[in-house]
Amino acid sequence: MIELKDVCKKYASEQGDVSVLNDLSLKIKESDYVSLLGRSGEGKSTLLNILGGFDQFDQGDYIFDELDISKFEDNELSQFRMQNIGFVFQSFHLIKHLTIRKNVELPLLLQKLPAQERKERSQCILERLGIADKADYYPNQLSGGQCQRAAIARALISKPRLILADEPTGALDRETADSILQLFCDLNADGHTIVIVTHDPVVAKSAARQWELKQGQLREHHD
Amino acid sequence: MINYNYSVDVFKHVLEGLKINGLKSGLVILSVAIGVTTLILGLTFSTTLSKSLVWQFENLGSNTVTVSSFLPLSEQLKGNKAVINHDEFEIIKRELSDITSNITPLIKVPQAHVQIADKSANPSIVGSTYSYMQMRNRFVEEGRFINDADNQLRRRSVVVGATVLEQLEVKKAIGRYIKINHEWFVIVGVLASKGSFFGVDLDDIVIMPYETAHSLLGNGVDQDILIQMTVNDVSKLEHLRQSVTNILRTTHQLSVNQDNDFKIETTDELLGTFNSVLKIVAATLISVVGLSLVVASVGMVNIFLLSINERINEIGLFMALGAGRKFISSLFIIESSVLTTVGGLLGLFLGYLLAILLSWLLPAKYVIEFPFITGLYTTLFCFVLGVIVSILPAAKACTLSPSRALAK
Repeated sequence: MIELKDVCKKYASEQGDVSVLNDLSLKIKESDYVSLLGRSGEGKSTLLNILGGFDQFDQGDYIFDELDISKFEDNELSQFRMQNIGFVFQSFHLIKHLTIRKNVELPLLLQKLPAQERKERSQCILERLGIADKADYYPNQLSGGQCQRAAIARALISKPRLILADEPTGALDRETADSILQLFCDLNADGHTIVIVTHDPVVAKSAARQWELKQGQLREHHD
Repeated sequence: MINYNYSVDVFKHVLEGLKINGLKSGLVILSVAIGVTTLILGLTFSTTLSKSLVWQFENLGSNTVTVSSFLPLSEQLKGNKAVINHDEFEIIKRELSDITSNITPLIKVPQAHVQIADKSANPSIVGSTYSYMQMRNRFVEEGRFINDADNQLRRRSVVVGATVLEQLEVKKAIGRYIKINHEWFVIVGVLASKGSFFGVDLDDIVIMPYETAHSLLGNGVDQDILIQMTVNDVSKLEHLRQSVTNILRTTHQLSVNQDNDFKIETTDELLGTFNSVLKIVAATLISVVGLSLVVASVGMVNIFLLSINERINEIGLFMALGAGRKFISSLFIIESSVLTTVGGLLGLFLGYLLAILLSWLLPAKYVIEFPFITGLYTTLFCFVLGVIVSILPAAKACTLSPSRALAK
């Protein structure tokens, strides 16, 4: 499904170019649940941005379902994200002046779906994630765990091929974090392909396959 | 092709966003509203004044011609004086009798003092004939107008305006005697009220027979008079103008190189002169307000640029969800154009409201005229201004990197 081949990424700094990813290669299959473990500065976010189609890279190939993403223009990348990727962020990124339902419906708004269909699908996904009773609440009226569930609902609503989660439990207490990780396991069991980026080995262990990012390269991590 | 439902949904989404930053929205709306209020207020009064001018002149008709003496200021400063005298009036009357009707002289009695018992007033006093009533649309509401017999016999009868009677505290005017410059006159009619025009009270007037006024001022002295006449056929206007010019240039003994020391104006020309002044005032007003809106728009651009920083996460999120440049731009363009259009509409409302309130200070005869077409154009202008103002912030928002926007 996803294949990164010999991807290199450098950033310019006052001290010269800093290499973040060195000939990095990665394969993710349909319905995989993968964690990318790494310390700060190891390039986790860079890798996530490349997988999400946010950032370009200097060298290598990114193949997604036989499509060469590295050749995509900006508008093609937007379409690619809309149709294939569901993002879950550490700080949820819920829009504070919109209700949970409206937040969850945003990807469908961008897909130009009618209001009635948006409502039906959001209701369905909110029920599945156990926060249907919070649909008309605003983000500041919900707990961190509920907000993250809403963010996951938003990521799932457009039925993406891949869910990219960037430190999804970083802002949560352990108990809530466990429930969110269990949710990811359940989603994976339902056939969703999930990639979690984290610095927390405990979180990383929840995934079926664990990769560790070190010095710009990935290696499979075993306990 | 435009997806109507999608456009409405995006529009609603933007409107929901406006709630969170009331101060920013309020400032943009206020800055536009103030400009538009000023513009509408000014244009409303300009239009009202223009309409009232038409009202003032409309009864004169386009076939009415006024002949008056005229000297440029430079000539007046040299001590020169231009006069159209009674003899010239008689010549014009005689020579043009076949193409004119209702020709009437008009003479002003300067520094007139009107008195009854211990009350006094200083109105305008003019001497004219019965034709004046029809040509100036000055009918009486009580008594009668001065007639040809009054004029021929130089009767000391007058028609007075409402303001004069008010100042003299006269209730039943007809038949009452008043003193004008120490001479006794009898009031034979009271003029129907006309209010004021350009600040001049049209009811502060006394009209006496032309011959009476002439004798009062001294028959031997050349009095400057004004001649008004109606041309029977409008197509003869140019002929009349030429004939009057020939007569007056001959009687004034003007050489070929000398300019006319008189003016021949039709009602349309008089109206045109006033209207052109009003148009200049309106154009100046539009320019000043337009400039102030341009200055305000610079401030608005700044406000929207700053709002990018406030909404950077939201922009990053939309990019992550797959929103393209078109969508991100539309957020700013819709927001900005909605605010400026609302500001414009608020300005229109306030402008019209203030115009109505201020119109109560005007005499009753002024019917407030709202420049609705201008209002429509102003609203359109505000909408376009909103779009223009949002271009730079929208372009800046589109160039943000989604990963950096989300990281902030």
